[in-house]
Amino acid sequence: MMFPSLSVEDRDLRVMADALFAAAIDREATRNLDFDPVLWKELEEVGLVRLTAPEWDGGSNASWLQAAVVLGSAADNGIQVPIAEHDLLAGWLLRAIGDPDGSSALDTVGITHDGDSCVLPWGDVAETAVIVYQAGREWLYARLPLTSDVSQSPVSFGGVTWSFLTGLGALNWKPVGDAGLGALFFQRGAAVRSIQLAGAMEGILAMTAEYTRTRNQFGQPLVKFQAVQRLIADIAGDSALASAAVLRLLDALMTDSAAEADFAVAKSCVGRAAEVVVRAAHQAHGAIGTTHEHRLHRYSGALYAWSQDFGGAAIWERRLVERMAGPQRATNVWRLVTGV
Amino acid sequence: MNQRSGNVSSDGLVSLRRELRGFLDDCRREGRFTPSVDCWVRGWDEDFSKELGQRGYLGMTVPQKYGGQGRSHLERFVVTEELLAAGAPVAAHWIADRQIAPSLMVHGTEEQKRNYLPRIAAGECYFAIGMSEPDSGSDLASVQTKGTKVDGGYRITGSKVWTSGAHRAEAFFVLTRTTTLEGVAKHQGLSQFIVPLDSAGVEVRPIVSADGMHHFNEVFLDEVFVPDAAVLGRIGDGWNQVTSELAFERSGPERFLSTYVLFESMVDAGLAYDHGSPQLGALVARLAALHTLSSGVANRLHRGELADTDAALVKLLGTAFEGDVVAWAGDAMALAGGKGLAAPCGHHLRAAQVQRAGFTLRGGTSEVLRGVVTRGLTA
Repeated sequence: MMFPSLSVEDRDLRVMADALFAAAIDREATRNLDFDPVLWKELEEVGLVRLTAPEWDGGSNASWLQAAVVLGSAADNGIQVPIAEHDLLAGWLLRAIGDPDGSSALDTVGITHDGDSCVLPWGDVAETAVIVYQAGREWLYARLPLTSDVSQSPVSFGGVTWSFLTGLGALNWKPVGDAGLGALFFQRGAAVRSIQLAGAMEGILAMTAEYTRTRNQFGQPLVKFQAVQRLIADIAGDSALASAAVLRLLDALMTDSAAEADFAVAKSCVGRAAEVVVRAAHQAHGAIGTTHEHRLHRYSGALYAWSQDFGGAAIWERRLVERMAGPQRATNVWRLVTGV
Repeated sequence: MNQRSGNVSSDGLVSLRRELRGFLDDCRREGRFTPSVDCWVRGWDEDFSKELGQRGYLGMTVPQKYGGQGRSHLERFVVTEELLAAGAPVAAHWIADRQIAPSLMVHGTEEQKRNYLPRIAAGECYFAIGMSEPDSGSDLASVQTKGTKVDGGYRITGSKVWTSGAHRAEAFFVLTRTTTLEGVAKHQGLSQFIVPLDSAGVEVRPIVSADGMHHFNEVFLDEVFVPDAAVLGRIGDGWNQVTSELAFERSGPERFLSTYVLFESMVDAGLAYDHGSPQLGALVARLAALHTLSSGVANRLHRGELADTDAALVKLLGTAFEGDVVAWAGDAMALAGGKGLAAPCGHHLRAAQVQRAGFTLRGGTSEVLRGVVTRGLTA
């Protein structure tokens, strides 16, 4: 993502994160789409795992902008790590609830809409899952130890194992306490995925631009063909718009003024963009991009999975429309757009 | 949203926005103008332009010593955005205020600045621009209109086309070839002149649009004499002059708000909810992101940074959005069984359906822009 202004400290953070993630690209684990324990240990050592947790809780107390720098860097490099799940989502929720057990060595998170089944990332490597359930107006949560007897039906998607868990009804569900907390958690999830999506789109754009610049067909680089330029422009356009929507949300998060509409704008734009970007990038890469060996599917798989997680574009768009009812609706639209 | 705005305070921008919005709300309530889609082309109202001038909303970035407001590009952005969202009639002063004044500030002689800038800022002096020609559309450097040196000035011969407002404006910039192509690169040897439209040898013929309205013209120049003082900047600097301000032209709010009035009227009529809601949320989200992207480019230009690729992207994405609003509104109205066709939103829809084709053409076609974007990313 192109951040309009980063402090020297935050630029250094970006450089450090880039170096760690870039070094992991060609490691065996990444190539095999496995969790990379070496990378995870390195991230732990420099304080990027418990990224946003407060210092009293052993964290680095990073701001939203700094979190976006790190998550964006990982996604831009096509690297999957569960920092978002462990720290920004599970860690934050457990702390906000005041859960007596606190964080485990590695937590992941999932949302269930029916109280029985749930799509869960990182179920193969995490120690516990924090499952959140919106039961009518009430928000519940449960802690699920991910021991070997949990049936996971795993699917690998872009370097993450996504599991489909069932039979969650028997878990020990507890209220999250303040009802607003559940909604906040869902919004945080949408923000995190939006940041990651924007980062991944930046990576996919750079990769596709590079490929079409260096791959020759009919005696010239692919990018000389206007039909191919159209693909590049499509990726550049939609990813720029997605980035703008995410920067807009980050601005609001940094000033503690993020409203439902800010999350909705971001998740809608990144979700719609993901579809355009994946299609165009695969088209530009030709057949080689469909192979396991090629890095492209690390991006495209992640883009698909993340864009549906914590509410796909259609869900957030419906919420946006619901907020635009009432006699002042026409003026409200323009207020929403300009923030004034 | 937290505006990152250099030395202009965020509070200042917010209060400017509120103040202008209040004035425009009053105008609409009092029927001072009828909101229009594509108001920067269709809404010609000289009294309104003069009132904007009196209220200090024109010549925003023109220094005070030339009668302007001496304010920043960001403040200008806010004013433009509010005027367009209200569908205000801004066509009369539009070209003078958006293109001519900034160009005069950079390239104009002292005499030219003193002659034109104060009257542009007052909303009293209207301009047109003569760039395209019958044989030069996207390929602007291929213009054939000739400027030939004669005693005391130049004689200009050729024809310009798609010259908006030439039938009402005082003068126009004319891009000419002043050095023959032999021996020079195509982008060299071009010069701009400031030509009063009542000059001897100038003939303006209307090009009537599909809806019967008259915005465009073809302008013929037959041995039109202009004095040396009418050369804009230096002879031979024409290409640099017409391309240096492109980032401003391509990234402004007029590239995504041309159909906002239609959008708002559909929401206001309630049609958007019952019959168009699935796409409504997506359109609002995209509009909000376009606002952020466009103001981000304005910020970078304000700080003196280059933003050519992003500026091209704003136009590419924004004009596609403007068209998507038209398609969506047509669908929503059809789903409502034609309800709304006789209301303001129906009127806006018909107007927008006619204007739509031009959005992705004017100021650089989408096809040209895709090339600009791709070259910017792969060079």
